[in-house]
Amino acid sequence: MLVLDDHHLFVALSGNAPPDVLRALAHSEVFTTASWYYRLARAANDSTFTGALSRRIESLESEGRDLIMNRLDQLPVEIGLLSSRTLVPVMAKLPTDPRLNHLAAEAVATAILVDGGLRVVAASTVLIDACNRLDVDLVVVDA
Amino acid sequence: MRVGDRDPGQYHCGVATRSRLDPGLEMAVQRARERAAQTGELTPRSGGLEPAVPADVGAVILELLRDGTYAAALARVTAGDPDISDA
Repeated sequence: MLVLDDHHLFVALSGNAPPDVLRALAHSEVFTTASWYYRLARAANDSTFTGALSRRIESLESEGRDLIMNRLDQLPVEIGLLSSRTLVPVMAKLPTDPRLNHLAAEAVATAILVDGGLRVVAASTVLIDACNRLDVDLVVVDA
Repeated sequence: MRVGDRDPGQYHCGVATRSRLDPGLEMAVQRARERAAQTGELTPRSGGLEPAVPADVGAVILELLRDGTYAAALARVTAGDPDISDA
């Protein structure tokens, strides 16, 4: 199971998923979290970002841009997303020293629940420490 | 970078239970897995994302991710909101 951060999720939604993510998608093994989904949706709707996207895509088919933005409005069902009803009881039991922020707690809880590994572009020392302590795979790699 | 080595663990509801979890956390995980298994949350639909994104559009998105445009947008989104930042 793979749990993708916002960068890797954006790569997948834009049709650029690497082979291992495509294989995982084929087997119902790709998840993200609400915080990462939220960050991606917010950033992709940032006016500077949409301006840059529109400028570069101007000469291309607008259909593709709309497709990607629609995927942000309605996350494809092939991407797993656990509900707060499921996650919060686990997040609440995670170690609090040091305290994980909401994004990190949600990511660690999701990885534990789906028995998956986190794939991120950046990781705080607090997240790295939590993954070590809780035996969660964490791969930090450029998208 | 890869952090953490997988161990086989024990299995419950078809998924691994890590042996290092403290009892309170482990119980919460087992309950949550049972609930998620009942609601189907643990098994998203399989298959590729269709329809396919045109290659030239996909290339533009990759460019925006790699040239810092997305990172700058993300920095604006997370500024002042430590609960969704990477820090």
